[in-house]
Amino acid sequence: MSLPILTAVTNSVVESGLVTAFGRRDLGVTVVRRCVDLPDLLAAATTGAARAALLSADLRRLDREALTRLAVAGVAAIGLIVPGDEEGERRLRQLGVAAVIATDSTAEVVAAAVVEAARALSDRGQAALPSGAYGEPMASFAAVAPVVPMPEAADLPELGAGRVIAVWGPTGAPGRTTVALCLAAELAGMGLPTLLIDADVYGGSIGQLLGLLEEAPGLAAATRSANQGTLDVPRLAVLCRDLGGGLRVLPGIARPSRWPELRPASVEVVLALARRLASFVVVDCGFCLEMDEELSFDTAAPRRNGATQAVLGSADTILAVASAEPVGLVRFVRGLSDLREVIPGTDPWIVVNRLRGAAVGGDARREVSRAMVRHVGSEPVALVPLDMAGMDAAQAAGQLLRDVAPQSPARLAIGELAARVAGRPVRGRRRRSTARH
Amino acid sequence: MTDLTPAVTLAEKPAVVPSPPGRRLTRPRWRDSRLLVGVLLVLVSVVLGARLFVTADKTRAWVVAKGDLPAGHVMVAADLATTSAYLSPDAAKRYYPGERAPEMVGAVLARPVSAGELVSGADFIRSNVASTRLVSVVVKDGRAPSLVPGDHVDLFAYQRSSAVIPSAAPQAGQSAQAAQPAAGGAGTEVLVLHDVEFISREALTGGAHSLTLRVPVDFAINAVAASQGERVDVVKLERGARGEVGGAGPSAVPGYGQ
Repeated sequence: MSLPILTAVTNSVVESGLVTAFGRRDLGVTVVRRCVDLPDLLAAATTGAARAALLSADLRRLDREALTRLAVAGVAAIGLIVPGDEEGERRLRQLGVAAVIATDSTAEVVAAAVVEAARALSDRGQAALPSGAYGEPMASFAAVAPVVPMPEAADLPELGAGRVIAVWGPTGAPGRTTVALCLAAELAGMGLPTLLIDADVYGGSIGQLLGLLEEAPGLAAATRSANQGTLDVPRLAVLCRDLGGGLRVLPGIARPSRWPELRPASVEVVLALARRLASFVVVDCGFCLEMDEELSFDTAAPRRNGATQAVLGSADTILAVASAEPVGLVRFVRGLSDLREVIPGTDPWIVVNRLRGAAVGGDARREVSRAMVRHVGSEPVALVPLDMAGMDAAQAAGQLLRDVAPQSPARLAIGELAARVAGRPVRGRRRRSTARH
Repeated sequence: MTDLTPAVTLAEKPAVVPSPPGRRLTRPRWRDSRLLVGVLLVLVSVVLGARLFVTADKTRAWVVAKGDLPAGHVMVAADLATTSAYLSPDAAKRYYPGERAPEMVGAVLARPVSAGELVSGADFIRSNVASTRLVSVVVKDGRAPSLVPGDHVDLFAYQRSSAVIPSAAPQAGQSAQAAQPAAGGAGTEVLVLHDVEFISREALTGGAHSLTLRVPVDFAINAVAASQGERVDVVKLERGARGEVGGAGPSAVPGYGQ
């Protein structure tokens, strides 16, 4: 059976030659449509009429998002470059196009590459994507088109060396950002290079909490670069801000309305590169896990919570933060079940924040731990007491809690959490001293 | 607590790609460059301001009395102190600057000096000044020109008889001439005093004036005597180009009746 393919080649002479060659001889491929531009190609791909697409490196607006949509539609992408165009080849490979062929290759070579790429996508797709992946809102492009290390980055450590710690929590401000900030600071304080990323699509505030004076483009610029296939480790490092002491920060979007810039596929690329920049990548996530876009049946629409899900999907460890008051605990129990649905098989570490006796009654530590075991099935990893004075002072000064209140009980609890995350021995201390307030 | 699985092996040496340092709010510290610059600015301003004031300061030390001193007091060093003040050049000529305080030790005060009062040259008895007398002379209205204190005048008196007014020897600065008896029975106009200092004038009832004159000791009696006369005239002396008042002229001429 002949493989149906699409073409989107900017050089019409080359395209005509290939179409003619494929038509004359039985090379195993059939051109079902010659697309004039990228939107045309994507529209044709979503019809399911083709299994592969030949596209030029200089196709306008070709980015990772477009390739993700092709992959989700089950269309393998094969890049065509002008002979000697190393820049174009590198960009295509960075975008995740596995097969790149020069235009002076014979039709047989091109056809063979197309068939091979379609088969590879089919094999990988069946393994990586659940059945009906097309209808699934969250299809990980990393699964179908992994990030290809660049040749000049050979001296850099292996991909995936750093660990990604996603800090998530349900709605209601349980203290995700606070925990992420303190955790990153404590990890860096242990001498472990740490990168803190603000990926909150609903109003990140890490830049303000750190007292950053400039509104750096941060994650939005990184995802934009990743989408265009120009992001690499040095570029990501330039977008980060060094806070000293081994701690870097990649600020989030300046306004919540800019969430469409945080495309899930690009966020995955950023995280993959961030692993090579730091031993620990602490990511502050948004709270919402819903995919309302499903309701509209428009799967091509940008998904606001896609970035959050991309982070949670990429994370090595998920810290689920709960606020220790009745309302916060109920929200957490419900939110955690949503999280387990969205990220199957995950076993998040439970961090109870804002712990104080007045809101729970009795021995706050024991009560909250019991409630967690009863309703969630596991004990909290960390119980962080509420230190309103210390947090307020840190926020007012735009400084880290460890710098403003080194002996804050909240800081000490997160320090223990950081030691657990890093696999270091936890320093013993009198726990009862901070249980009641 | 949940029993956690050990952490994976960490990348001890991740990519050493530098990131630009983040510009952050800084915690207020004493070692703040802005504080140092501010303190430096204040210090420089103070020093420059002080130098400016010192340069622009025109005050000098002047001698003042430490306590109340009576007239006739013989000055000792303990009576004198200095104070800083600015005096106009004209006023400055009258007072003693601080460095001349030793000169005043041993001098005798001519008048009482209050505590804190600037000491002037006029406060001391000068050795070369002869004694004088202040004498009041009653002059009828219209027989004296308008005078200001310090003017020098001659005093004429009409002498009905031919009595002789005792002559007086000329004094330093004063050249009163002895009156000579005049011929004739209508009386004599006599120059009683020549070139004496007018001090003050006081109006009396009936249109007369009492003029106070400073006269040499020996001539005081002349003035007193003349004041008893019916007709006394005061003549103001106008100084010439060299400041001289001219000679006394004839001391007596025949009178013209009453």
